[in-house]
Amino acid sequence: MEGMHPRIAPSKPVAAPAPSPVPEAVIWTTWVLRIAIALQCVGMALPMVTHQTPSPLNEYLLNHQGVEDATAGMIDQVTGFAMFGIAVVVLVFPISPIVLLVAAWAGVTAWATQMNEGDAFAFVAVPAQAVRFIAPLALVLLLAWPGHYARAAWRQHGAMWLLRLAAAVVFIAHGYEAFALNPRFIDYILHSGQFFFATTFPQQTAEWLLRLIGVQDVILAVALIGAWPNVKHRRSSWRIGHRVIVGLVAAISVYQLERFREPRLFVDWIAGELSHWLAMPVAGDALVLLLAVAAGLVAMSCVVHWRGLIIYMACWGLITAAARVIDGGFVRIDEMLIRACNAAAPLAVLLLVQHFSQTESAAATNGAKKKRPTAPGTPGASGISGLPSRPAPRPSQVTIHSEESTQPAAPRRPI
Amino acid sequence: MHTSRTHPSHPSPRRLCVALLLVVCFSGLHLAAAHGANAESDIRHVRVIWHEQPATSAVISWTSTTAKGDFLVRFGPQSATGKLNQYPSQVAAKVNDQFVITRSNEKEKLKDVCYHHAVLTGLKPSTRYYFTVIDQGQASDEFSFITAPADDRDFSILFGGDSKGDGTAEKDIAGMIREFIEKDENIIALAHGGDYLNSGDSLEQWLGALDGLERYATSDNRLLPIIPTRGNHDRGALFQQVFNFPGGKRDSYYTTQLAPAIALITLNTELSTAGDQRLWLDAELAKVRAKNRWVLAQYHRPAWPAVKKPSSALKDFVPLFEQHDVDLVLEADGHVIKRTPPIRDGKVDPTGVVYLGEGGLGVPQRKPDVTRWYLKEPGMAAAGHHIMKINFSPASIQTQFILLDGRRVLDEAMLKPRAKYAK
Repeated sequence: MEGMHPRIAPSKPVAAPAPSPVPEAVIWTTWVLRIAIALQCVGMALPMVTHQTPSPLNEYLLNHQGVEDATAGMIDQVTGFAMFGIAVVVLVFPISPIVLLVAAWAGVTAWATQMNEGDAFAFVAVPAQAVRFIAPLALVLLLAWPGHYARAAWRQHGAMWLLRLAAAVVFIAHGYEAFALNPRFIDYILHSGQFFFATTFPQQTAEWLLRLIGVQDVILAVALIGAWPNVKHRRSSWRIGHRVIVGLVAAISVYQLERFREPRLFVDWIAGELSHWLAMPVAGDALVLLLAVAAGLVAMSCVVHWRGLIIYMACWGLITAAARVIDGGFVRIDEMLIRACNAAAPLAVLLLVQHFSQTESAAATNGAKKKRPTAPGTPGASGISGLPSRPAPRPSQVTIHSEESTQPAAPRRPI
Repeated sequence: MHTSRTHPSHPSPRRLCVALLLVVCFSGLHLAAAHGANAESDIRHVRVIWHEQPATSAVISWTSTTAKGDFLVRFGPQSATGKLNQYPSQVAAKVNDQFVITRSNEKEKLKDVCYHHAVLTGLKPSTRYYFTVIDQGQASDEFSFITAPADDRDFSILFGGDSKGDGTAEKDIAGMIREFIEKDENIIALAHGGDYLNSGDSLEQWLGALDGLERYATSDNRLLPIIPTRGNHDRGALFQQVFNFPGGKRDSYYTTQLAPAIALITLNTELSTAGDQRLWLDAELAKVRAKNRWVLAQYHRPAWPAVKKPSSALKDFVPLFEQHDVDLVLEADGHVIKRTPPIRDGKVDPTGVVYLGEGGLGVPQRKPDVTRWYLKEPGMAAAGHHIMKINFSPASIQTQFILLDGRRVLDEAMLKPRAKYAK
């Protein structure tokens, strides 16, 4: 342009900066969730399409709303076939609105199960099935639009927390059911004993195991919420305080579990037996306290060994899902598939947490490197007062990294 | 002299006193009438429950509003309407307590509802007993029931499940049952397959269900004893309080000796089926099979369903039924009508066990999946509100599905006793 200062003359148009690459962990997480949600869809569709059993919504419409059996059956059929289609879409070309449909149907199913009041512990159906409708929501957070991945860190953090909360709620609900001796769980244990060991345990043994499983589930849930994988980068007082808090919450949770009638009866029974064996009075309250303290200590340990904890939770989710098939044969495969997210959610959490942990470690390392040259030779620059600091690198050696990237900075362009 | 005069518009003190007196008297009368009305309606849901030995014992239960006081049942083989002293026997209700209330919205209005159970023993078989319930000095109407036989005579029972419903069909079914037992004194009991209501935790719903059972009484107050099964909707302690079960691990599975050669085993599919109950069933079947010509079982969730997936009964009960040659199994829960052919080892076998069901005492009916192999000919499946009548005789058991619609017999089947046990 004429008359314009040559220094501000327009140069060649600069290309928009290339988007930062999607972290590999996020891609893996998305795939874990996609596969699990697709399996869940198949699990939901199978009984409806094959007329094996009516859906909870069908039962609700028939028994509570006076809807004709034919109409309720047609809703099941249509939903069943739609779920098969959705399973394919989720795998091949995930679209957020379609994934939301899965969340909606899973949510309605959980709610209808609770309203029907026909299953053991139906009143905890919504929390017990939370991961089925929250995992699709987490996937939606990780998907920006069809075929793309969201890059915003808040979305990844949001998905991770949704999954953590959902998995924890599921474990607490199942922990309560186990502690209160859900008869179906007793049968799963007894039938598994027959299947694997060709022997039948006494029912009392199965009940003992269930009580332990109940406590274990609650501890795992609390530890999952409390686990702070990158806590090692914090000050030691933070670490200790955090572990103590998690331990206390686990102890209090187990203590609260005891307030329900059945668990309390069980504790009193143990106290009676112990009194008999030890020939001295053993108070039920003291036992409860002991159990709560033990739970707290285990939870504190879980916080440190969080990777093991999450992998164990994923395996446990898989085992409990498979228990349906072991109990009732292949005809109940849909019940296993519908629980795919019980195993997938902890796995997804593991992947995301690993990713955040690595990112934060890198950031912490870079931060430390950045600080060094600012006060060369001053006491305390090493991070430990009283020790001589390292000599500062020469300016030419200093490389400035961005917080997110470990790539060396690009050379400056002349303006 | 100043004379005080009452203003015409003001009543004199004397008039005021008279008016007040009248008000007090009328209020008293009204309160007394109200109390009387309340007293009359205080005894509710008089019912007869059979557990193990119905030829010689029965449980008389009712609902009222007090848990403490004197609760009696006066009874005898002769009617003594209005003359309580003429009953030769009386027994105190030993179980009297308030129903548990677990729902917060029911706590206010239902806080004083109580149950009472009196166990009558030493009864004569095949005898009509008349009884009156006395609750805190108030006497109920006179009711009656017929005890189970101690010989090989013919008799019938009704079977049905899932009486929860929208009210209309349930009332019509109650009318049909009433008709049957008014016409036929040989019908002596109702084996109920479970699901009396939607939520077993709701006292309000239980009271509604008991209102429904009251409707089975004939015009002369003959009651049909109930042999109760726990359904998947009948969860919680209220079921035990309504039907006088002690609770605990042996909750509601038991054997009813309907006649010297007929045993009906009631199982509970809402408990663990693979544990203690299975061990008990194995031992019980070994015991009763040798002594009885007919062995029947009833439970709620079907092993051979016409609509849903098989319950754990298929894995835990069915092998024992086949091992011990059970004759007939009564199931509920599916909201359909079904009769299987005799089944053994997962296929049709003339030596197998016949399964009937699945609940039609008022619930909306479903369309059965007739493609399942055990529902094809010679089995059957259909939909419709119904009751099942089972006629026992030394030579056979006859089963009839009777539809509410037109009182029509939809299906009829006959079973001969197994040669091994046909004494």
